[in-house]
Amino acid sequence: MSKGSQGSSDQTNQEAGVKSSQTRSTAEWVTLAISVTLVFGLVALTIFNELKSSAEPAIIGVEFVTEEIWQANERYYLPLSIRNHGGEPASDVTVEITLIPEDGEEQTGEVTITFLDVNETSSSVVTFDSDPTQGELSVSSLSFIQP
Amino acid sequence: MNAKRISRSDDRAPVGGQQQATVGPGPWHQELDSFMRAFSGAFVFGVPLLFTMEMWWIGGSAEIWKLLIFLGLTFLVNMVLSYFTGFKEGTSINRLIDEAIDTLAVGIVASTVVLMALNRFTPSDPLNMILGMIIIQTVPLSIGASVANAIFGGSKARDEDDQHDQNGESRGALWETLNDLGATATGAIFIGFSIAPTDEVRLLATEIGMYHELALIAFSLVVSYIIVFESEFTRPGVQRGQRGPFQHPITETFASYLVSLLLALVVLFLFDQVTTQDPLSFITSQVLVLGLPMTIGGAAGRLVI
Repeated sequence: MSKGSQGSSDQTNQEAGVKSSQTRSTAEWVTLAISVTLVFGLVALTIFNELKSSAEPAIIGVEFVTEEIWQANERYYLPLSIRNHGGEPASDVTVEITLIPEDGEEQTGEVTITFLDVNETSSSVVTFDSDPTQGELSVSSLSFIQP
Repeated sequence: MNAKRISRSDDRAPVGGQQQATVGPGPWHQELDSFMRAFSGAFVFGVPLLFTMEMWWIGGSAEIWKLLIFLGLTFLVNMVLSYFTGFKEGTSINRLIDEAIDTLAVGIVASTVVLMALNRFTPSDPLNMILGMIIIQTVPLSIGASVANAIFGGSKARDEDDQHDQNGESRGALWETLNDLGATATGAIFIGFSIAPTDEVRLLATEIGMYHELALIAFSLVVSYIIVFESEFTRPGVQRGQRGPFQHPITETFASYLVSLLLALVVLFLFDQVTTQDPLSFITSQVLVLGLPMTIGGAAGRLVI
C-alpha cells in the first residue's frame, strides 16, 4: 500500500492532500535547496578530492619525536609520528624501531596501527631501557597490508 | 501503516475514523516536523552501523566510484521507500525525488554530527577519509529517514492504552511513569544488546576525551527529546508530557537518559566489558558511549511499545 492510498477512507481529505502535495511551499523550497546543496556538494567534493589525489601506493613515513621523550619507572618513552604519504590506505601497519645505545645492547620496540588512511598521521610510543637520545635510532622493519 | 499525527490535511492522514477537520500547522512548522521525523528514523535505524568499526574503515578505503554508486543506489531505494512510507507528504514523482534528496541530506548531516561526537574524525583528518566515512554512513541513515513512519508504526496495545486514556480512565502518574520506564528499558536493551559486546565501545571509550563525552551527553539528550517530543510521532488524542512528573518533556528526557545509562552499565558488566578493576574514568566513558544508542532505543521504545 502506498502512502497515497492510506487515506482512502477519507476521499475528500485525500484529494485535498494530493492537490496540496503537487505544489511546494516556501519552506519546502528552502529545505530542498539546502538538501541539494549538501548532496551535490558532497559528491562534487568527493570527485574533486579524487582528481587531485595521487595514484601512488601507500608510503609510510616514521618520525622520531625526540624532543618529547619522557622517563618513568626506569623506562624511556619515545613518541613516534607515523604518516601515510602515499595515495592508497594501509592496514596493519607494523613498525619496528631499533635503538643502538652508545654503551649497551641493541634494543627494539614495535608498534602496530590498525588502519592508516591517505595523509593520515598516527601518534604512537615505543619504550626502551636506555635514553634514545644517547644512541642511534632506526626503523629496522616496516610492513603493512594493502586493503 | 499508522501515521500518528493528530490533524494534517495530507494524503497520508491516519486511518481509523478519528480524523478531525482542524487547521494544521504552518508550512515551516510542518517542514520542521517532517525533518525531525526523518532524523528520528535515521538514528533509530542507523545507530548500530554508526558503532561498527568496519563501516569506519570501509569508508576510508573504498574506491570513489563505489562510494558514488552507493549514493546513487541509495537515492533510488529512498525514492521507492518514500512512495510506500517516507517522512513527508505526496507521491508524485517530483515529491519522491525531493524526499529522496532530503533523506540523503539528513543522512549526511546525521552521520557527520555523530561521527564527530564519537571522535571518528576531526576537521584536520584527510579529506578522502572524512568523505568516505560520511558517504558510507549516509546510506543506512538516509534509509532510516525514508522509513521513518514505518519504524514508528503504532502498536495495538499502546493504541488501546491511548483509547483507555481518552475515555477519561487515567491510570495515574505512577502507572504512566512505570509504563514509560519499562518502554525505555525495553527499547534501550533491544539496541544495547547488539552493540555492548562489540569491541567498538571499548575502542571509542579509549579515544574520546572530556569534550567528546560532554558532546555525547548533550547529543543523547537532544536526540531523545527530538524523537519523542518533536518528531510528531504522538498518537491521536495523546498529549505527551502532561500526566505526572516523569511525563514532562524535560524530566522524561533526563530520566530516560539516566535509565539508559544505568542499563548501559549493567549490560556492559554482564558482557564482561567492564569490571570492578577498571578505572572509573574508563567505565564512565564506555557507559556514555553505549548510552547514546541505548537512549535512542529507549526513546523509540516509548513510542512503539
